[in-house]
Amino acid sequence: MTDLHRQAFKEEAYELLTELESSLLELEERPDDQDLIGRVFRAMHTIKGSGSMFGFDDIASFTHEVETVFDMVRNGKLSVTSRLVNLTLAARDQIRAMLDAADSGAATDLQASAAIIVGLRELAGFGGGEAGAPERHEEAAPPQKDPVTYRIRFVPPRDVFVTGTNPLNLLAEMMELGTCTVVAQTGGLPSLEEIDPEGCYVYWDVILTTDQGENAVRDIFIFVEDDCDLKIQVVAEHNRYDEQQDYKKLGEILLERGDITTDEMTAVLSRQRRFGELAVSEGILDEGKVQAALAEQKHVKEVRQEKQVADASSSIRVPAERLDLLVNLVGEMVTVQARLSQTAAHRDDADLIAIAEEVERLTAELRDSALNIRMLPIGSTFNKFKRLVRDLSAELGKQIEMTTEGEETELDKTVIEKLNDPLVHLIRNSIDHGIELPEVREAAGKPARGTVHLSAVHSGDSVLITIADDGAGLDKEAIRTKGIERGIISHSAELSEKELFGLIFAPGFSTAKTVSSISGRGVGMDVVKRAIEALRGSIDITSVRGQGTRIMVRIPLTLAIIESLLVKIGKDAFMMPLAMVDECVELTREDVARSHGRNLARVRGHLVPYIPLRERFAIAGPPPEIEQIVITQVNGTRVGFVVDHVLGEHQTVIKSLGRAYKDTEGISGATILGDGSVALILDIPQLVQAVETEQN
Amino acid sequence: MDEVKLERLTDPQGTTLKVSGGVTICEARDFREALLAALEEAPELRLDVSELTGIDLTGMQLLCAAHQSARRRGKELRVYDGGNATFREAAKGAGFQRHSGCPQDRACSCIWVRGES
Repeated sequence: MTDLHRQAFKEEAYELLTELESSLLELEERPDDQDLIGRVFRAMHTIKGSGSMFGFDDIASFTHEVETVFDMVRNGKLSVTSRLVNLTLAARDQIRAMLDAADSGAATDLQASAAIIVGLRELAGFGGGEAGAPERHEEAAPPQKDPVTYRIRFVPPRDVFVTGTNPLNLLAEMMELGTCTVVAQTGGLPSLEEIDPEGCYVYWDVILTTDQGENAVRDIFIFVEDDCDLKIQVVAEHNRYDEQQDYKKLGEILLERGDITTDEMTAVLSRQRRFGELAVSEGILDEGKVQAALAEQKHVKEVRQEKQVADASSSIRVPAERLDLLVNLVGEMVTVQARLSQTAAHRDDADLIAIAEEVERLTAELRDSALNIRMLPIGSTFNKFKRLVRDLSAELGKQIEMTTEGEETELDKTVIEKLNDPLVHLIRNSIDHGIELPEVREAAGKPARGTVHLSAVHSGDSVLITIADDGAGLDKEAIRTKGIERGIISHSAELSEKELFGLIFAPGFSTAKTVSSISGRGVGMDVVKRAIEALRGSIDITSVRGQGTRIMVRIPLTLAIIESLLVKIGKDAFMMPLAMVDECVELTREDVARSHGRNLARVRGHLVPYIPLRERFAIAGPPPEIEQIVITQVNGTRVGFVVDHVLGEHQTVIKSLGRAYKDTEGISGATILGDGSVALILDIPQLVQAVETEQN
Repeated sequence: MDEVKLERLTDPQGTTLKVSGGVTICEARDFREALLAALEEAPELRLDVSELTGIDLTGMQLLCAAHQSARRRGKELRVYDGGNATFREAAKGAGFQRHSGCPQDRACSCIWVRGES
């Protein structure tokens, strides 16, 4: 077997394991959910099956044990207990470890495997060596086949009730085999006066789509087969590639069923009316038979549609590097397109301008769809946290429920990956410092079970992720004392609530009185803040003592491209993220004189502080007569930036500045303009913060 | 299954036969008699099955047969189920629910015909 196949199996198995974990956690909450039990069973079954196919024999045999137990659960022989969920979760981790080890060649912990198996066998109620044996026949069952649609005509004898058979039960059994459409044929029913109320006058046409095979259908009728008239025909196999074409015409179906002869059909068809109606009015067919044929048409159509939906949702697996390469190329393309547009405008050549516009439109579409490919829903990350919350709360003796919202919110793949660690840390903090022990909560009049709510929502060009707990809330005094102790603030400092909470993000700050294994090692919140800022995001805390804490993380949708405003100071071009820009106003020499050099502009009656960028960046030369103030919104306050000229909007492909300029204050990156020159992207929050610190 | 109860009510609009409880093969003979008797009476018979808690194949056959007899006598038979899910499910499970009538039903008055429910 080639490595390629093994790799594919591993990828699939990792995905199944992730799904398995979330199914198990849900199962713990809803132990009776047959659907979930089925999901767990199928995941195990698939891992076992493909595992042995690709030579992961140890995984296959281990998984077999778990599958056996879940088969019993599925058949109602065993109920879901928290012990079972715990063991299965452990088993899931063990399978993962085995998968990890398969590559490195490292040995897996066989004792751990054995312990899990023993536990599972105890649960299943059969001890030691022969475990799994009772379920052997399961192995012999043929693997899942493609579904086939059967046409079944079931004519029970008149005295079927006397023999104690209820035909309805047989129909019900058939419905369990798969998708099933039942049409009763009542044409033989006499009137009330003539009827024997204990006789059976009805027969059925059943259209059944199942993957169980014809024998499974025949088995249902095993006790009545001798007395009744049973016809089973295959009408469609759903594995062919010719499924796109329409299903058989009504006439064809009736012909196949032998309800009508070719001659009769041709006779009817020679008159151009709807075939079904015609045949009935001609008295060749009764309505019930046409009904059955119509039902067959509809049934097959529906089954095919379902299959098509399933086909459409299948996906192609592509290595992430190839995607990154694509996005990079699109980035270059956007830059080149900007140059083309600029050149075309310069030349003033109508033909060239037309082409440039066309290229611009296509590039924009190309850019959007390339970025879209990289978008992933954040739900998978949320699911990982469910396990984290479960394990941690058990460890700490707390009762915590995690609720999530907005799992479908999409974010750039890289962003999601980089967001994982900071979020883990924030959730750990909520569990460890936020949520109190059950007794403490009850004493405070709160439910013993704490809640951590995780939500994600789109907001403009960013995503807002909120982690809210209903725990103790932040202790302002403790933060203050600690801040003074650590020398971060002075004794006399007057801090607003926001500033006080902001101290948590200072390096080396930790308020937990004891250091637990979960958090409180003093590394943490500052690392979290830096990680979020590296993603061009921001983080905010609000908290009410006794009621809980809410942490809001705002992250841009993608790291690759931003909409920005292009401005000029002297000969240098700069970019300002458009999402932050509110408006632009003029600044004349008189305005400057009137405010006595206090860097305040009056905009419609309100004073807006501004930062003269020419001074800040020490750009030589005199400013023009009339300058421009670009007013931005930073953390809820309006701050202006004075520039020479505002040139307009620009699609900016962000290029990092490289290691040498990594820590340059006020600059977050660079981009290449249409004419090939470089423009720096301003880091507005950082600039504002720097100026504020200087003034304090 | 609850015991079957047959009540006959007569009002100016016609006769209503209310069937409640479960109709099985054990009651089939009685049910047939009750249907026949009710059909004799008025030009229009209303069958109220809204409180039916179960019906087997014999019961459904009888409903069909009663419909047939009613038409032959030029009378009308209406089935009122009041959204009774048990009744609808039983009809669907037995393949009785359909979108047009049976071979004898030329007047499109089939008791099983109703929109997608």
